[in-house]
Amino acid sequence: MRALLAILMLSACGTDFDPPSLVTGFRVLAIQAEPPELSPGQTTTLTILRAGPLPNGATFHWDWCQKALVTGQSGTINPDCVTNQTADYLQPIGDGEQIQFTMPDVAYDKGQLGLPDATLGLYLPLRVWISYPGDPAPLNQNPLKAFYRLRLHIAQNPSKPNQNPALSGIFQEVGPDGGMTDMQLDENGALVAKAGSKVTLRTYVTPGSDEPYFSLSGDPKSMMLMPQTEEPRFFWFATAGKFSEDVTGEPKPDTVLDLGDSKHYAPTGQPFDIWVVVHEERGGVGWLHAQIVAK
Amino acid sequence: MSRWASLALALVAGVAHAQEAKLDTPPKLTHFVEAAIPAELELRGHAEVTLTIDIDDKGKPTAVTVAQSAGAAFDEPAVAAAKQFEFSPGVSAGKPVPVRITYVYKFVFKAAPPPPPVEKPAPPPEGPVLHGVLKQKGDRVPLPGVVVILDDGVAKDMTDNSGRFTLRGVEPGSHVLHLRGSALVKPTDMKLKRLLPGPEEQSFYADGVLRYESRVRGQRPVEETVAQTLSGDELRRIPGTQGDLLKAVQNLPGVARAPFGGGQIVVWGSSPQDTRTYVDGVYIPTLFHFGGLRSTVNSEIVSALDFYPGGYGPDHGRGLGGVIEIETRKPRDDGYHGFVQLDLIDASAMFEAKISKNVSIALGLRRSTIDLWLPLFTTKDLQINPAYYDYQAKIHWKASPRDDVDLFAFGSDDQIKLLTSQPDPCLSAEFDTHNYYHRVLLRYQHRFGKTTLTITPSFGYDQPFAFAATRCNQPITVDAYTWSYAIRAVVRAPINDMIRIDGGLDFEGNKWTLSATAPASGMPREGDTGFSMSSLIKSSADVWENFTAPYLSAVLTPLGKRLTITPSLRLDSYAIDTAGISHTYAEWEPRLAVRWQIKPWVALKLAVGMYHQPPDLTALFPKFGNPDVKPQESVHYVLGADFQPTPTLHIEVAGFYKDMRNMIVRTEDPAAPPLENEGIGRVYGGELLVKQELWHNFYGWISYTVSRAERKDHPDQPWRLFQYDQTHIFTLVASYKLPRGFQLGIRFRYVTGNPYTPVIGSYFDAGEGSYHRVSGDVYSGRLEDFHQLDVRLDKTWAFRLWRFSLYLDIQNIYNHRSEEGVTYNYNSTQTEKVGGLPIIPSIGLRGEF
Repeated sequence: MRALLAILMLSACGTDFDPPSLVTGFRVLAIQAEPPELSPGQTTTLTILRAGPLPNGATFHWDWCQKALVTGQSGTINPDCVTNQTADYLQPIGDGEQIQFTMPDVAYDKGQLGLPDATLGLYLPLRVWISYPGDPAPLNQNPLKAFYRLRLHIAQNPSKPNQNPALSGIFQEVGPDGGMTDMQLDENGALVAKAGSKVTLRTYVTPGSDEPYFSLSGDPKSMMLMPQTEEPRFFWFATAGKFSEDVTGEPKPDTVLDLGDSKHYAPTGQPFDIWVVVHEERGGVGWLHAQIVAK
Repeated sequence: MSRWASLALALVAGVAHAQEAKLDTPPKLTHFVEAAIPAELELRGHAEVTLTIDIDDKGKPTAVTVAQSAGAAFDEPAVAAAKQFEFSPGVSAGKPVPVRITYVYKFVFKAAPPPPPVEKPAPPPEGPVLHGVLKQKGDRVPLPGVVVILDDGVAKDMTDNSGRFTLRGVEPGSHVLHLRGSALVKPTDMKLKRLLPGPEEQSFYADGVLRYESRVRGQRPVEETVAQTLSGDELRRIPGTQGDLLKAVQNLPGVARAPFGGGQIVVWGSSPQDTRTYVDGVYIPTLFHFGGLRSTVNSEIVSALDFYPGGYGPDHGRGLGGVIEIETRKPRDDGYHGFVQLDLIDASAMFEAKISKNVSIALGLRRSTIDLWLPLFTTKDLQINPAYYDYQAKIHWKASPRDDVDLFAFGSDDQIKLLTSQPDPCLSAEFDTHNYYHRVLLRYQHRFGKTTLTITPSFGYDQPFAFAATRCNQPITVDAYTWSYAIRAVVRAPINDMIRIDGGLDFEGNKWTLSATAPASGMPREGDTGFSMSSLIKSSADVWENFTAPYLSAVLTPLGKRLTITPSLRLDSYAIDTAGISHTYAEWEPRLAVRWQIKPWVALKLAVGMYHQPPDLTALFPKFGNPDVKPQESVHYVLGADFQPTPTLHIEVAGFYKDMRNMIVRTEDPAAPPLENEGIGRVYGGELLVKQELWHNFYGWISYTVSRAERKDHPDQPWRLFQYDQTHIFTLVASYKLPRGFQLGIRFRYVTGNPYTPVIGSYFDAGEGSYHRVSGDVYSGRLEDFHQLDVRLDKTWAFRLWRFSLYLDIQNIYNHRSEEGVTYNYNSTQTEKVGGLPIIPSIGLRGEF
């Protein structure tokens, strides 16, 4: 317990780092598989959501890493899948910002994909290796390595195959009662906010996007599949301003965008980009992009 | 004399050594000073302290050393008294010469003599009679063995064990009472302007050296190794301990520094949970409140703290690290006493009194104050609010001269709320924890002649870890609580002068109830490269543990007790049932300790033993751990020497090696249960302690440990460093008593920085929207070395009936922010150092009566 507390305290110490929501250059914000959960033999389309200008000469190379995560390793991917560009356990599956991938017949019952999670989820780690000419960034950020863990639908899972969530828009809080309304649009279709103000923002998934599923719960001797409903989490990104919460969702559905933050000031009259990416616990992804102009 | 105790002495046992030629006339004791009688004498019945006394050519003792210890409680008063002896000098060739002699000081308990016959009335006093009782200033402890002389010897008496004396022929008026004795700080001449003799008993107060004080022993306090005792009164004034006696153990050799000054005890390269703490033989799960701010047992009720870093005897087990054994004292039976203390960390109070002829009680309570002011200094982005309390209630019943019964209830409760608010939810955290333990023990001790039997059944209710946390917007909950039940039975039976047999039974049982919603990786473990928040899973289970260990040892003391050999054997049986999965393991643990007193001032010591440790609860936890993991194993080897060049200077050196097997580690096979017994470990090093006991108002010690602690998680992997491997650990503690009740103390520490696992890159998990770090080799990086100076100034005012103290304790006086960790930005492209605690001044008040 003390070790856990120490980890939390170490990570909680105040720093001068930029928040992850601030987009200052080329970044991958999300990868979506459509559909996000499939049985062997079915095909999905993988699409990258990127922000910032694409570096000249950038290449996108995709592999399926066949090495499972070992318990106790940090993160979600076996580190060997990250550090090596080529290896016998890295199977190339395509190139480009969008590819198609057909689910192979995996011997998941022999631990090839590791242990299932509580949602009976087994995942294939798919890697996109993005490299471009120029000086490598600190700590091995060029090439940039992003993973999407594609969910395998297994026959024993009574839940329906997962579907991607969709977002219904970006809404602004008005009045002290917490009511939300659509943001005003200017003549170019950008969302309008008062210069230097703090704007409370919220987003929702469309009806039906938060799907029901089953999750394991209870004593190991009598573990049961219990019905659950997806709990979407919303990741906010912007090229200016500062969010009070980079990620929203229950129990904190709102974030406050500070347009007057001294470090991340949003200049008046110049539109800047804002993205919202929604993730749910079974790997489904959705997003929307807009511009905000401070007036 | 005392009703129950009296003192007998054996004088010079023999001339051991003449400095020059043949001795014609040995020295002869001409002035004897009676030693203060330890309270333990009543329990032990008798004790012998063999002293080596160097006598100069004028018959004055120049050095007194303990050649054969009877325990610190007896050694110190015997040495103090012997220093005041006077001899006729030894004579050689017609000239007085310096001589070294061996002297056996015998403490013998005698029951009170029957009351004198009443047929004859007492003879009338010769003139006016003064009935007095001599007490120590402040806490009113009776001062025994003090010679009270009226004026120029008009009347003379010695105080008995209750401090009482009688002087005859005292005329009313001005007088001087001359007080002499080892129970006094210094010879005292008390000028009394209006002394009125009479039948009423009158109280007199002097500065004494007797305290109901606690002691910390740095090494094994039994025959096989030398007793290393530190005075509790001095320890309370060590800078940085905030007056907490038990925190002094953190300054002893072999103990690594915990990050942020936390309360973990890391001994000889073992994890904190590998070192077990006992109170009166009963295991407690934690010695310190949150962050090591304060010990969970009020040191005011502690009579001794024994710290065994390794190679300890068969009466303890179930841990691969060290043992901390706290022995509480019986409540005072000389009136009513107590104290009230307040500082910026907590407030505490204790009251103790004799409530009937054979029954005395003590009640203590402490409650944190830090939670009252700390919120004033936190921000909305970082809020931490620790609150705690602990309590002690003890009843002592002297059932008969041979029987003692103690009923002791004590416990501790910690609640912590931590809130860090940052835009990145994976750097934000809400942490709410509530940990406690409660114990009730009944200790019965019976003496059959020289044999003692002690039986201690106990019950408890603990919640050693329970918390609800939110991180990365995901909830983590872990709850573990237990009903514990235990019994410890100990028999110590001296067979003859050379053999003593000790035997016992050490049983502990627990019924755990566990439930958790946590990442699949479970609780963090030593060697982990990070803490993953992915794949939250739920689990719950009941776990039954019954650990039974009979043991036997023989203490053999041939060669005139200069050689002590203690072979012993312990059989520890571990019966564990985790959610219906049962295992029983029986582990034999042979151990051997040898101590050879080569010269009165030097001794060699050796210890080797086997130790086992049952799987910790988080390792047994289904889904997060593995109910099939077995006990871990370790063999300790210790070789060392003790030197005592002067009566107050003690030097101890030791080398140690620990071989660890069956260590519980993460599995490499993703399809296998998460934990297995594949790890091994080794720890080797040496330590030095140079301790100067109070001498010319100076007191202090230097401790230094050099060591290397390594682990190998799987046979095919290379050795790596242990999480708390600290190559050099240097501690200097010094205090000086200044005039007018002031005392100044310093503590300086220099410690090699802890290892850490560097981050060498990162990747973006686009499915869940977060970056993850890629770690380099485990613990292949080193944080900056730690160094810190603490200073403390005390001022004490001693009044007749009470004592008042004020202290100022400044930690890290030159405000060096040692590196305690490294933090990274969201995609690990930037790093920052995490600094340690800044300069922390604290002030405290204490009143005792």
